[in-house]
Amino acid sequence: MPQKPLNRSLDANLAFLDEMFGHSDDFYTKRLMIAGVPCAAIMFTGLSSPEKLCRMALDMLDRDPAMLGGGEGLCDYLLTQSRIPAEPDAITDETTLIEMLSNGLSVLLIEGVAKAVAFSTQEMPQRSVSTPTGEGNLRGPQEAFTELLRNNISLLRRQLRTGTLAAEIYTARTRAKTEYCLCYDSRLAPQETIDALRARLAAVEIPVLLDSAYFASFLKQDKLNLFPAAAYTERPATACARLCEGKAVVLVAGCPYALIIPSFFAEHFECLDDYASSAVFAGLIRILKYLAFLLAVFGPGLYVMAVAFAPEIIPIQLLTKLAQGETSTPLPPMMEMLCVTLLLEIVREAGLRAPQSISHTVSLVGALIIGETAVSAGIVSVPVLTMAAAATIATLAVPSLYEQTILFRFAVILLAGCFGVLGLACAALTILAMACGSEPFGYDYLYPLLPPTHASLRDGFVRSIWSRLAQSREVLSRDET
Amino acid sequence: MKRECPSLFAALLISLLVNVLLRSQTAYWPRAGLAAALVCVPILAAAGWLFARCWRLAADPVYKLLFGALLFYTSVLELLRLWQLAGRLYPGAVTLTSVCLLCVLPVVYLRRVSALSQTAHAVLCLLVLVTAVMLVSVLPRLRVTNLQTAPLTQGDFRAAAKDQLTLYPEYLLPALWPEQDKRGRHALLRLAGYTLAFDVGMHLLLELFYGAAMPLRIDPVHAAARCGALSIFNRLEWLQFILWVMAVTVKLALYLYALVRLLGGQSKAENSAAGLDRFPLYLGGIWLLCAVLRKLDLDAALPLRSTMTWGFVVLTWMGGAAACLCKKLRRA
Repeated sequence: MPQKPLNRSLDANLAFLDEMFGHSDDFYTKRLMIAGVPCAAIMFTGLSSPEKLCRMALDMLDRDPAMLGGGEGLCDYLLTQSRIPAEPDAITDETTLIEMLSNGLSVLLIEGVAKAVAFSTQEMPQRSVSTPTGEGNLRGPQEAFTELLRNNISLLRRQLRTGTLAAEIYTARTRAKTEYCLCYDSRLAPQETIDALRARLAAVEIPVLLDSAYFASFLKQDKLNLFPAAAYTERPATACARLCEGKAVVLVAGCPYALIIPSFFAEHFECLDDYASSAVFAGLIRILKYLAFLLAVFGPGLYVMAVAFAPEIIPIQLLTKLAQGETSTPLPPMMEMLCVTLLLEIVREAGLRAPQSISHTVSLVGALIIGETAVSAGIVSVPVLTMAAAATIATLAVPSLYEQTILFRFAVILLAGCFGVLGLACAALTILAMACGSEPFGYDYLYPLLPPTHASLRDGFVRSIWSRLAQSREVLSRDET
Repeated sequence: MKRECPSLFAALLISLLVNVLLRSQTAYWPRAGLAAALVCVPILAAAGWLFARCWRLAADPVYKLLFGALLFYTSVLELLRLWQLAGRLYPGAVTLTSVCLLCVLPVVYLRRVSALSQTAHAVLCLLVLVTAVMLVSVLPRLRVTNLQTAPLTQGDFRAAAKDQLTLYPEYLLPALWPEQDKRGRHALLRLAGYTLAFDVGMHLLLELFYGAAMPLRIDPVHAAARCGALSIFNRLEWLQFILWVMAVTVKLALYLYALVRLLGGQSKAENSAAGLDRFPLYLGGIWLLCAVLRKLDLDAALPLRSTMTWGFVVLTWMGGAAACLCKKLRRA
């Protein structure tokens, strides 16, 4: 798109800005004389501070000796000679001018010069760095990303103090011109992966970019695949750990979650605490998480299949109890399980979306009153409720796969309830095939779990002791497994 | 962790192993099978190798069409076999349509070679694991005294050789794969070796379990698994069945990939997926042929398929030899 250059006339430039932003009350313009040259200071109050501009630039200009050379001389002085911390490049076109103002910079327009000087006088209201709310950890750093892109980059840089950390900032092709930053370790990250990622991100064209997750869908190879191609974290420490594995991190302005690319299945079962606690305990917890995932996805479906199609697989004492429970309820096991699972999801969603003051009430009403009365009224059986509740709790053990777990669970219940063992087999294979078919940027999604190698035990199903992990120098490679 | 050249060896192996597991009756005594395997392994590997050599020379649209038809027919036979097995194990619970749908549905996600390769590895691991669990669960019922000591006749050896020389399309499929030099040396020999070793091993296990009654049992593997007990789980055969369904699906996906390479216009990128637009046609075709052939006697159809495969192989050898001869004559 051709960019229209700035006018030499101060009035013409101001008229353009007035036409563009004149109806906005936070648009601030002040005409002033500097060294006898008519100028205008422009900014958005709220994004930029007039006091900061005065303190930083105008006061200093007053103290500086008189400049010769009119407008051109003033502009040159500000850009190249003065100690005033102006932006190194002059603004020469209207698009950049608008971009700079929208980014919170103050701009000095000078009469007779087709250039403008920008000053970093941003002073935006911002949330301070707080503790992560969605990623619970007992040990390790307790900082979380915030909404400000520069702050997030600085949080990363503080953790990874190496010259190889690259942070490339781009403007997304959105209406809001949102900035995003592609971070990677230039020594560890495979260049072809970074090039491919850069190209894919640059090609993304969406009306609005409010979250880094918006990018995730564009990075998928197979759109039918439900497994995510990217992972998210709100912890700079986790992002830093992934950078050290040769992965890329994408930060989006206004979003406190970093996107990690490529992401593997096993990463959803890892957390910072794994590496801070002993290897044996961490291994046990990881295995428990895998079992929890299996329980969350297959538990209810397996129950429905066993009760409705293959009761012979249930031990006789348990079968008697289940039969007692099932005979007292009107619905078939599949419908019963579907209804309870749906209800639990509704309770969860209501608890999440409701105002915080009443969310506890929602949970209490859902869990105690509805659950208790449904059982006592004989609408659902206790075993079904127990299994559904256990599956819901198990889902929370791997929160990053929550969406997938819920969708898979419904599919498994439906298929196992309609077709029995065959349906369960179909569901299991479909999920397995999805996981195997997910190839984020050509990498095996199931690495290092499958095919089983030493890596599976080094940092996969369990983790090795630190001395061995340190030797392995786990980074993305082009090795064929 | 980055896959440049995914190997389909695991998919081929699992497709062959499932034939052993889905067998409706045992075919030979393990001692005879062991002796026959020593001869049959090289024969099968040599047949596959020679086919691959001749295929490069002789492959023309008619051959491709014939091979495609053979693969499609085999897919249908596999589904019918699974349907009949499911009907015997869970009477009244499974219809032919549901078998077709549920086995072919996951193939949507197995269209890409790397997905197929990785899934086959996973299913193979699970199959080994579940077979080991089954073995442990039936261990107390295995009796060394069940091993037959009667001298073997020529007929026993012939029966073993005849069964082991069943030529499955899996031995021919590597001829279609691109970049065959990267597939590892002696791939066909290993494939035949592992398959027949598993076959003989399974027969030995069944002989230890059933003794002299082994040849009379219907669905012997499943029946043995049904008798197993492990802690509170006194019935684990459903787990076996789930794995068998998975293996059959992998087999169908493998055949679909081969069909796409044969008939669908080979894509330049090896890892590119078969188009989803043709998938309903494939599913519909499979279902229709299954419905037409639902009353087929599989005990007769499966050996006939093997004969047809041998016939096709011989035809390809002849075509390859003729092509080679023509080339030499032209040079002369």
